[in-house]
Amino acid sequence: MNVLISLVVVACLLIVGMFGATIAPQWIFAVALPYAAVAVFAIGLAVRIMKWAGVPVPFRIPTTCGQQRSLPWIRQQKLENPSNKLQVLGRMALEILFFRSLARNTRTELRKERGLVYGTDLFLWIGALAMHWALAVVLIRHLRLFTDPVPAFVTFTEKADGFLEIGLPPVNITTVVLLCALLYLLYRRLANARVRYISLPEDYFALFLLLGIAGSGAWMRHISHTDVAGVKELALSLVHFSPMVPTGISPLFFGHLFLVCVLLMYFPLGKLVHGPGVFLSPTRNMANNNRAVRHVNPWDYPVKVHTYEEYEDEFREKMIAAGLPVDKE
Amino acid sequence: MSRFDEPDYYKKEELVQIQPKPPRTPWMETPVDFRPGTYIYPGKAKNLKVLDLPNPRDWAVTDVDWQLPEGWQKTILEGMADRLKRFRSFKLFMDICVRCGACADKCHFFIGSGDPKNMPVLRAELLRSVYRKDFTALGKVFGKLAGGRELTVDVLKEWFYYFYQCTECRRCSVFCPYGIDTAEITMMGRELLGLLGLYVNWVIEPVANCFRTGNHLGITPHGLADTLEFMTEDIEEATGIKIDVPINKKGAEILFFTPSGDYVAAPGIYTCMSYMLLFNELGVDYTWSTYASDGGNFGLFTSHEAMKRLNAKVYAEAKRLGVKWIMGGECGHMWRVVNQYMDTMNGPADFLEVPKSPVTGTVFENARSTKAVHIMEFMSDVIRHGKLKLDPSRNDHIRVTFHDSCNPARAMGILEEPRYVIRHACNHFYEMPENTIREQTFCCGGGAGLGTDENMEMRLRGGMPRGNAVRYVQERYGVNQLAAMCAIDRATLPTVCDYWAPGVQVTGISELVANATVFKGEKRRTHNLRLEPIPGMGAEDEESEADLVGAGAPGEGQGGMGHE
Amino acid sequence: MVERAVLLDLLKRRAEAIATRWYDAVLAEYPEQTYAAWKRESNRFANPVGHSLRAGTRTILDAVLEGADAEALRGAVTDIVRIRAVQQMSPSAAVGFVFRLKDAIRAELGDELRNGSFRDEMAEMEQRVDAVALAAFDVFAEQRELVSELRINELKRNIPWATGRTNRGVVEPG
Ligand code: HEM
Ligand code: SF4
Ligand code: SF4
Repeated sequence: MNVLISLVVVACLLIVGMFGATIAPQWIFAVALPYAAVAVFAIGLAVRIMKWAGVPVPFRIPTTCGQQRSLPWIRQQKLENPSNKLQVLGRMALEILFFRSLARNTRTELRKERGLVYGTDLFLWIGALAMHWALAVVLIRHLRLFTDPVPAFVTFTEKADGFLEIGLPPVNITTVVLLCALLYLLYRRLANARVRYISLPEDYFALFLLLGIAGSGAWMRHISHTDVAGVKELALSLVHFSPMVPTGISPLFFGHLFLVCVLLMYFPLGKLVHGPGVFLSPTRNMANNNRAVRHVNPWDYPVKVHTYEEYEDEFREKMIAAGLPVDKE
Repeated sequence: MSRFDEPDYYKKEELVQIQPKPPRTPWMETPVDFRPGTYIYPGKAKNLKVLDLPNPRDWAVTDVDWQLPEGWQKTILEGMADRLKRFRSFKLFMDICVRCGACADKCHFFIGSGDPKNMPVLRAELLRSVYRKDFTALGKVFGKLAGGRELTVDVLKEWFYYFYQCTECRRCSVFCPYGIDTAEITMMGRELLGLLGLYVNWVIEPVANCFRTGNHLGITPHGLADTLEFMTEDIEEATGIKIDVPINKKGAEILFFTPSGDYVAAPGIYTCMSYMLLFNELGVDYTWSTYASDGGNFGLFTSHEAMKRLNAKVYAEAKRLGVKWIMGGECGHMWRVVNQYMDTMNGPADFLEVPKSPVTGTVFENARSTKAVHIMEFMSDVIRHGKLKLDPSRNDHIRVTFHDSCNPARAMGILEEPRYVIRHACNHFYEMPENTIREQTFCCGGGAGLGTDENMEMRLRGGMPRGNAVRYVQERYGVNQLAAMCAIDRATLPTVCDYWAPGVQVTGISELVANATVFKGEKRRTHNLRLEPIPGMGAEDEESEADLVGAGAPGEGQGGMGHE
Repeated sequence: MVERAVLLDLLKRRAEAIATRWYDAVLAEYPEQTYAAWKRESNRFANPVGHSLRAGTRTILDAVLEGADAEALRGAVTDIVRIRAVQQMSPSAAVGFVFRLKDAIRAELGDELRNGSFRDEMAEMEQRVDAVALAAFDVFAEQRELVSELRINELKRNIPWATGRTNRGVVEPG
């Protein structure tokens, strides 16, 4: 049910994009919407991040995943249990670039007790990592549409990516990886009863949306070629704030563009904010040095406590009888 | 059903088609099943009154009407809004979960019970669904489609059931790609329930006791003095050494505090005796305090405010007694509080000095601000400097394994110190399997205020993964003792072992050390601190073999101590 | 006699398949999500319940095929019943898993049973399974009793001190 709703919604969006552009005035889909989407994305994301950043971190609560810093002769696991900013940086880098925590699953011993053994969620780690890295590379490659001259690192990325030199234009591996990884993540959500049970429509929506974008992109590149020069013209004109829509761009491109716009607008609202969010996660981005450096809670307030005086008042006689020292005789 | 001699009984296909129990209703529509043995009794009115908490009343979990105050939905939602503004962890964790399921099978309660709502992600979703409905743009517009859910009495009951089925152990947090800590969400959930006066008695009674008497059990100052005195008698019987018990002693160098569970129940009491013995041997100038007689802090399981209220006494007492620094005993959640909250909540402790071991002169740089040192940090340093004469062969009848307690492991990272100490006190030390120790350790199933007896069934489910790993080393290496540096462990793991790995006894680490130490002026040591004969020390003739291995038949269990 | 040996042989040869079917059927009594988790993860420590069910069903089956005595049967069912005794299920469900073994045998040997004339032998097999069920019931009752005993023991662990202290008047009542 959740799956169907999401699939239908994304399919409808694609169709709206493709044919909307032919029915409605082109500038709506080619100019107004992209600007609006970028604006929503940028402002939305900024607001979201500022909202998080505006909430204080009252206590220092890192999850420690290794030996603490204590006595000099005991070896600290600096990246699992950092005690200063530099080590935290290292830990964060591992988390963000390599999804360190997800990879913990792989450490479970893969003992062959009987027949085939599945690495717990090693696949999730591979799938997620492949998807994100491929996505990052795909984004970099897209820069060639928005820049003139194209910076060297973009050309280089593109060259490296297409090194297999299959087909014309050459198939980029990241495209394939992205699609496969997305399909795997989708498959996993559907096939694993546990994950299916916890999944919300939103989870499928995000996946279908990305699949739609990547799929339509690949289709344009390899099957129904679109007028890349025209697209670049459009993109550059948008970048330079002098929009003009060349003719002859295929509807599929507008479908692709429309989905991207939806993604941009959805990004700050939904769960995709996990990307920026992870940087702020207090269990990961703090050093476990509470006992060495005091952490201050900005909203700390006095609480009602039971003072020693009140305590002694209640028990004084008995304390004296038991030979315990008291403050007031 | 057809009989087996009728032909279609043999229709393979029908039998082959194994379908797991038909997909149950979506989780949002599955109400809780309060079965005796799985939940904890509610907090009694008198305890709530001691602490000035809202809506004190006596009620039962199985009541249909929980006597919620007027306008309770509003109270909860306002409480959520308030906490979303105060805790970035809460706000962020509400927002960024992608429901990838990496945490799902990491919770010992899910592993042992198979109840899907014990998957950490769903435990969090119980609260998150309400958050979405009322606090996010998507949720407000799309409602259920965006995973939002109305706050109803059933939802509240579900919270109560599942937030008191989480031991705040943080195991899930280790595996989450964003470090989402369901323990943190459970803490918020419990705070919110508390706004309506929904507490469990096993937590709130200790908190009330602790507020008034300084410890969870409500032991009075003279009661504590007697208890410790009583212990010295046992110590003398076992070792021939007569020791003094410094209590509320002004001007001592160190204030020592430890969880109160260790004053009263076996096997914690042996750990407590060991502290005194070892301090006496090392000539440490320390004092107990009756006012700060509990390092444990069930406030952690109640609310941040309650935690602060109970914790305040530690620095206050250190100041009043004029000590130089503080040392804490073997406890789990107490060390979460000391390591992550104490300084922030009740510091700065600028009236104390940076801790320096009076035995070795080592300065504990890592405790420079809090001025609180863990006894295992202290002991490992002492042993490293050879200041204790140890004869580990006295523990040769013990084959020990070590259980990392959740909080010291995942909220502090004290992993090597205890192992170092154990290795020097025992010749036979065996680790449990890799994915059940250190930061991946499994909870005892009784932490965070779940360690009472009315929810025994639930505890045993939760203790299953731990018990299973113990059983493994028991079968494989003949392990007969499980060491743990946590008072809750010492109270709950004996039960877990009696059920899942009968024959394994539980001990504190200090107890192992004290039993291995050759004390100055000791008499011939034939009995350990439990007053059980030590094999190879010449007491065999008197006692039968069976007593030695500490063998407890399952029914017998890890019974009482030597006193009648 | 000859036939009997034949059925036993057949069962022994197919034991693995039967055990697998049975295990699957037992797991299937749990919610779908749980079924997935317990079936999939094969690490004995990450998934102790799944592992115990898997190993336990096989042990019981072997015991049945060997015609083990009552004591051995008890031993074989203990692991599984110990787990089910503390899970959210009725006593009948906790023990009833044993009967799924009959289904598993019939499912696996459907064709042979239909064609052959193993009726009497099969009836005997089923009696053995019934014996396992009875053993399981005993163990279940025992484990439940143990659970309540553990509750009491936990209190008892405090008692020597508690009584000692109250007798001497050091603990205030309440
Ligand atoms: C930097 C730290 C990040 C981490 C650790 C991370 C991790 C993950 C994980 C574990 C998933 C779950 C896969 C699943 O559905 O099972 C996921 C999904 C996803 N992430 Fe990230 N991510 C990060 C950053 C980003 C960024 C910057 C973006 C921006 C485009 C992004 C976009 C997505 C998308 C589109 C999905 C797919 C939606 C889904 O599968 O539910 N992520 N991420
Ligand atoms: S591992 Fe983290 S992100 Fe994944 S489902 Fe669990 S809490 Fe959510
Ligand atoms: S903190 Fe521990 S008990 Fe709570 S959900 Fe996470 S793993 Fe389970």
